[in-house]
Amino acid sequence: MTRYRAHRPESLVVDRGRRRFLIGSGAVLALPFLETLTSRTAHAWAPVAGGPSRMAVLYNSHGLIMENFLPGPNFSMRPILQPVADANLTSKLLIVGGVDQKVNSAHAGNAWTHFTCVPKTEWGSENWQITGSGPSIEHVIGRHMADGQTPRRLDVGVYDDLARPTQRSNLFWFGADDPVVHQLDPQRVFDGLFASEPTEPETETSTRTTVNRRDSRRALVLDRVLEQFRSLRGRVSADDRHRLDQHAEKLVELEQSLVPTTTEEVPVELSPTCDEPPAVSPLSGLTHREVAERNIDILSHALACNLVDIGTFRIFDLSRAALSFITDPSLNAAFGDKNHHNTWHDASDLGVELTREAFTLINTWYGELFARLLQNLDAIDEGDGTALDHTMVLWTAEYGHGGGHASGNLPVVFAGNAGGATLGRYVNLSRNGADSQWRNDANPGFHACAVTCMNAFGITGNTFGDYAIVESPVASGPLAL
Amino acid sequence: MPFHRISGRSVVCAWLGVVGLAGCESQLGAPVVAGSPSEASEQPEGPVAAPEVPDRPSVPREQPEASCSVEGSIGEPRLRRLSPTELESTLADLMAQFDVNVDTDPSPLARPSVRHHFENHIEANGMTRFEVEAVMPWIESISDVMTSDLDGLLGCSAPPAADGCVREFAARFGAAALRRPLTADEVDALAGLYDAVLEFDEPRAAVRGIMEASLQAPEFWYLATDTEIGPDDAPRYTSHALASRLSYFLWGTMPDRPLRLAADDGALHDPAVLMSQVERMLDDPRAAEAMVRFHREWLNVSPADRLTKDPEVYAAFNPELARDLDEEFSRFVLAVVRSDGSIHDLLTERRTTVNRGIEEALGLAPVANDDGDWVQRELEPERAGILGRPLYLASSATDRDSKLIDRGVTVVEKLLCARLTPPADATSVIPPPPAGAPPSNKLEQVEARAEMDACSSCHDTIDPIGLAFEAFDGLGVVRERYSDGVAIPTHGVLPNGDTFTNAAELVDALAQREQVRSCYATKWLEWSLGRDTTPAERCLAESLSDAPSIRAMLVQIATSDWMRRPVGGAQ
Repeated sequence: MTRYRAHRPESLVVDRGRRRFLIGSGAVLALPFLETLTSRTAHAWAPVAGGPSRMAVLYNSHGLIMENFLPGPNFSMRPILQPVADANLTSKLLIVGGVDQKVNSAHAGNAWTHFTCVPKTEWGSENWQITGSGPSIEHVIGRHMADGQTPRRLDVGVYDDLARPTQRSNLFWFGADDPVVHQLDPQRVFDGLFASEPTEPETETSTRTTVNRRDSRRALVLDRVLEQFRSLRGRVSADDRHRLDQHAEKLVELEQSLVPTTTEEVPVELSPTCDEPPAVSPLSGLTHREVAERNIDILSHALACNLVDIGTFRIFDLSRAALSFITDPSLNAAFGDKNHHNTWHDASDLGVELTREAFTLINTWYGELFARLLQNLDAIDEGDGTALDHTMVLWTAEYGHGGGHASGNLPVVFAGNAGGATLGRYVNLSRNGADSQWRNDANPGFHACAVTCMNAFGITGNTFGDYAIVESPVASGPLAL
Repeated sequence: MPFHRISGRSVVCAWLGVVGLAGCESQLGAPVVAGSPSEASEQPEGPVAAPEVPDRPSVPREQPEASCSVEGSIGEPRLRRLSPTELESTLADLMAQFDVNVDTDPSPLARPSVRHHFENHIEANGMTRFEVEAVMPWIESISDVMTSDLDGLLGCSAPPAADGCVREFAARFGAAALRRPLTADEVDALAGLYDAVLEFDEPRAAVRGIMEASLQAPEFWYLATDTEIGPDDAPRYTSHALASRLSYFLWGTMPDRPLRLAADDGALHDPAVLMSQVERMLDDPRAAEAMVRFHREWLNVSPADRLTKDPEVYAAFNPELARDLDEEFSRFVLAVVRSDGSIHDLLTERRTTVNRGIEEALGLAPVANDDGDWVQRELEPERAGILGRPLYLASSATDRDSKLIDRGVTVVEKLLCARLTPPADATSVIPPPPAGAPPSNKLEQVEARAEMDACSSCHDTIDPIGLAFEAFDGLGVVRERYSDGVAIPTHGVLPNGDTFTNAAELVDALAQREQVRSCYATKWLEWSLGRDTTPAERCLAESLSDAPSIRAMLVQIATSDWMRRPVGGAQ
């Protein structure tokens, strides 16, 4: 039931400078949620000269087999990043070694902290897993780009249970109690981005009117709903009021987004690629690999065609069964009866060689997804470079060697646009050898990486998050790239 | 030099296969026990001094006979959002009220992780940005479906301006969504919305506007608990707030017509009427559904369609068997509750209902016939109570084997209400394994954990319990040995001297304990309130644990003073 119409809609308007995508009709009509984000008034943000104008973050849990991730002599790729070499894109990589996780945490606590750089401290509280500790870096950047408004973003991933449509993130946060939600079903993601309501008429003008009428109704409905929030607000306790207010704030943002844009629209030629979103097919029968690839394709399309400014892709822990498309016998031997998490523990460099082999294969598949994202973006010519050249792509994780939950020497690789830093090289910032999986107080923390990202998007300053509880001094400011 | 240590004790024994989020740091030496008045101060702020690891950690100790006179409010509701399951049930009931019976798209709400909570936990059901944005088109898809026969829905031909017919519909629909009658002002506002939409759109869109405003109203999404002053001049929850409290507690959905009627005329305030409504509700199939759901969520039991097994290891497993095991679990829980069983019975009952498929999978001599009929029988001597249900055992397992630690942790966290948490100064540094080969099987891992203080502080408690349940493989089938021929030592001694030779004796011993009974009552309080319990409420749970049956306990909660009156309103 693909409802996307492949022809190029006439009124599709994109402002390249402001990276804004206005809804006229056709392909992006009736986006269930993105539409409300894309139709808002244009904001003033412009990229730093030579800097990126979009950001994509790829994340996987449990770190990587670092010795097969970091490059060899002469920037030769080892297995995990070999897919990027196969795509001839290593010249657009900047691999950074020696970045540590500074938070003094354990197990999943690092995940909660990684992108927010605010340590989770409520250990022992039953709710510590539910709440975060602050906005994550890509949201801070997105909000900056959106001039304080809700960023336009797409968050997708691949999860063990393919039937699950969404999964809350513990990595990416709008705020401490507002997790990003990853969408997992490519068909739904696709429909959300590209399909129009089945009940809407097909002709362009009537559809446009229908959308306007519906938006007018939405505005009236939201008025009434917000009035009811105000009424209930007066009848509940202060704590409960806070809860209602947080909900209402998001409705207010939604309402504001319904205000029609008055900014002058500047038509810009779009790449033909943007006319044809990647194919999707119903979920049934797809392997986890295919699901991941489709979501990568949709994400890169949404980014390259300026439907969103920020994208994240999360690879959740996948079971042996979900990874069955990797047939190498080492996986069976490594997993045994263990789940992903416990199998990783045995893949510590002090552990079993076999599991290291198995996880290198799994990590190499992550590398393939990363390369696919880069390739998709690089295929789109934007005149003064490709879409990749205008995108900061960051692949990272909260552990180095996941097996030991080791928080030293995290995987950090930029691609496309690292804010002007020279690409095609490996920068080792480690003060205790890039091979060490242990933290070193003298190494830069991941927050330095976050600052680097912020600066690339024109947010000045040299701190991000809060490392107050860390007893040791940490390097501050951007990475020395 | 086997370990990297920070402060000499908090190493994380990940390589030994420690359960995912539970660190080895134990709080069991000073257990967090239901009803323990000391718990209020157990989470100090700021740097936490490392608790001493006891010489001989034990299963959480029985608290001394507590008088349990903790001061504090009991049963005070927080404004919580409907859980995804409650939302779906509520919406289905609401649509049925208007004679619309069609499938809607699944709600866009993310399913919260309920490993440590019930799904209705307030903190797990915050409204995220994504959800707020996705709810609007979802509600619109529902208003679209519900207005496909507009005249039938309204009971009149949609007029060009709001008239009596529209106002009547708005009042009816609004009351259904808000679970209380609307005020005249509220009806006016909806009628005004109808007229405003008509200025630029057709009547159907105007009716949809009424529905969309009602279905996005905070009182649809949140369980509001309005109060009023009763004839005795004391505050009480309004009869409609009380009706909702009851229906979401016992059913997980909105009040039905008889309950609404009892609320409409205020009769629900009459204790006799309240009692008869509660009894009626407990006899309703919706209560049975909620009852099974409570026990599933309590023990993290997977639904049949989420259960997967590796066919190389469990050739007997197939989706049909999964459904049978699922049904066996439900039948077992309901049989205990319907026969006025207690928590003791729930943990120790040996009779259950099985069919031939289950008998074959468990390797039992058949009693059931070939026609798929269900028969009542006892199973193996090791198997008793809800923790012996094959669905639970297959859920506390991977695709290929049982989860020893997971089963042990379930007993500690879910039956004893003790918490296992990572230490406050947890470090991410992992001890390398001791010299030599890493432990190759579970028994060696158990021994290795026992030899390390930092691990044993929790695992000395977790592992013996887990070992007793190792008598059941990853499908819940009884076994004496692992596949490598090693015998499973299922016997053990509890710190209080009780010995057990198998899981059935272990749960027998547990079922005797006051701590387990009041923990179970605490879990029902959590379920009824949708939040963590306060120390005062855990005190209350101790008295609830004396109830002669689970049903009697639920009646006690549902008709309690705190269910009816806000704090300070008790007479």
